[in-house]
Amino acid sequence: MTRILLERRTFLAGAGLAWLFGLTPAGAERLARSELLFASAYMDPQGAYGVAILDDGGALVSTHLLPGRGHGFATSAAAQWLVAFARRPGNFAVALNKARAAEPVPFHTPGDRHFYGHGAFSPDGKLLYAAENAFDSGDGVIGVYDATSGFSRIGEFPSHGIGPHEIVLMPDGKTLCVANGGIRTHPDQGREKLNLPTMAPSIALIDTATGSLLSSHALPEQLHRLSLRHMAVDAASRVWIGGQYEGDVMDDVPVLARLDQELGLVSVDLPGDVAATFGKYAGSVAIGNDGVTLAVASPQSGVVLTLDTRSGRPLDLETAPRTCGIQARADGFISSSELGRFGPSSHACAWDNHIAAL
Amino acid sequence: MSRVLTLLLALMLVGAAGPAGAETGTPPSIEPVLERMVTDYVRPRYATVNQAAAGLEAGFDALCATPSDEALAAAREGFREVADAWSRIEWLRLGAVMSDNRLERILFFPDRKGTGRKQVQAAIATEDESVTDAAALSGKSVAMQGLGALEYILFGSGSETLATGGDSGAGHRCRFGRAAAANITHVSAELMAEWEEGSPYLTAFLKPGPGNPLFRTDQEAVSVLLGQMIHGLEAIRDTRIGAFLDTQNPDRDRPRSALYWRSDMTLPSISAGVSGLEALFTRSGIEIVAQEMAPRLADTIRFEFTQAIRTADSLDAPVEDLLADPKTRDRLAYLAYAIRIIIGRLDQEFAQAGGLAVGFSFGDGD
Repeated sequence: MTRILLERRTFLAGAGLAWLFGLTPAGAERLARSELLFASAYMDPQGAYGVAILDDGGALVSTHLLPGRGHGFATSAAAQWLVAFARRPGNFAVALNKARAAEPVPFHTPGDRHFYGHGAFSPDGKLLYAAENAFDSGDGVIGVYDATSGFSRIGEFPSHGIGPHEIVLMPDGKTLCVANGGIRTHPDQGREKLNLPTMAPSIALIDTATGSLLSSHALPEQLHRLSLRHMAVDAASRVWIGGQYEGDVMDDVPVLARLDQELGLVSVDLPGDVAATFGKYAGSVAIGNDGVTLAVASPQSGVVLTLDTRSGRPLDLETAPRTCGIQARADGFISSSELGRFGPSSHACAWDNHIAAL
Repeated sequence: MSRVLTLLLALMLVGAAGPAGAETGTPPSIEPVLERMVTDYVRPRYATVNQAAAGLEAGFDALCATPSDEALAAAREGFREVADAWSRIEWLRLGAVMSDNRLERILFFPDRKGTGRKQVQAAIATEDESVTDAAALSGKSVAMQGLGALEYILFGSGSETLATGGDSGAGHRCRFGRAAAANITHVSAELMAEWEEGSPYLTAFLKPGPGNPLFRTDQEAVSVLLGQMIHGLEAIRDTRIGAFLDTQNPDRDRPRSALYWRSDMTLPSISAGVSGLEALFTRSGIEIVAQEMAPRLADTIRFEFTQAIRTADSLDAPVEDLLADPKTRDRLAYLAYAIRIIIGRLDQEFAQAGGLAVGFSFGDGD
């Protein structure tokens, strides 16, 4: 909680100026009252895209237009920025300053790369890592951007797989964990999946200091069509991974996996009825502020599953139509849907797949 | 007179209240839609693919036994029939087609590196006997056993030797073709089987409910069906038209990257693809889910489908020629635009009228 409160105060200090374009008086009041803020990408009824900042009750604090559809975010305690990434195959990102009055900073990938919609900051908040597609070769890369100089791109290293999706910095502050979803796409072919017969997803641990691969983990061959895409790290530094199955819907396969120091990458089985209700498609995952509760949302099945990471036992399976965004709040989780629901509030827009906590 | 007016006004008010009242009513069940989709769309379409492939197999039998110009022309026509039949159902990405790489084994495209062509050329050059057996072929690379291989065999360089026969190379090429046709017959029979009465897949498909591996609710089924159409249209625009047309820059057009350019089936397959999706839309009767909220929307969508199909049909020439003439090239760009209009209509208005999220991608969490 201390971390959250500190962040909020930093945020408040600059809010009156920093968010001058988007902040209404009502928004300012919500900002002042709020313990915790969230960000999510949206599409409004006119088809315009943006990023919204919302309070703990799901009320709007401010909105900021984006040039196209957004997806995920990168931010951290030390980072002054909230970075919103384009959804694949978009190539733009916009950095919003959390700490002081500043115009948003737009930046983009080089011409032969596009974003995959996710990124992560270095512990000092100075470097931004972004999951990207070097689409001519199809190799996944991690672009490195300098947050201290207008997000200029200062380098890249391989993601050691195809289709890197969510990336998270491990608690050691040095290791980047990359979910290589395994699915090859090329912007010339829209969002068409080009390599399902041969897809080979993996979780790669990469040393951010050198860009070298520390270890790469895959599930058994018969699960090669389980695209490993979204991740959250629990208090025991175990990575929980939500998958999206690209094989036969009648197959009895797990949707979750866990990367463990000792066991490596293992699939996580759910009880039969829970597995059947949840389906084989996880849209996003989050770990609660307690460090031990995992929440997984399926927009297709319209359910949110919570489970105890210590026992692996499901705690609750809540009906939540078209819900994908999920994030820890002070106590429990807040979620959002394509139908406009954000927490307990309703909005006339469709929320994209992810919620970031500021 | 005034009573008539009053009555008319009253009727109009009742009419206006209709949709609002319907919102609180029970939405129509999706089960009859799923049933019609199977009986009126999926089964007949897969059966047509199966028959066409069997016909092509017979065409190869005749060609291999007695090579002639006529037999080659008949086999080539047989190929076009299979390609046409497949184009009308290929965007259905549900059921058996999604497992055992069946989709890719029938057609692997795009093949950016030309892997399939190289493998087929190598097999022909070395007269690899293993590709002349359908069962053995089915275990090989997906890129060398489907329509791509068949097109190269029948239309690619050296295909004219099929008409003269004589040397062992022509005989091998012909038997390779027959095996590839037999392979499609076999795979399409597997597709048909999973949509037959009593298969576990079909049982699940027809009855959404808790614990159902396909659809847990009616709304999920609507979303998946609509997603099939939208994804299919997007893929036709992005991977089929987009394969050869660069709307921004004519210098970047790539006629040789078009699907089926050798057999002049590029535009016919695009037309058949859009027609197939229109058939899925109309024959399933999915429009009932939007009927209350937008009673005329389905007709608008059908009209727009027809416009796109007509445009594709009017472009009856080799891709290279279509791209070379600014007038036909513009029509290709218009075709891509016409498809985009239908996508928007389904993704926005139809989805909203059917109670789904507007404009988002139907459970594609990315």
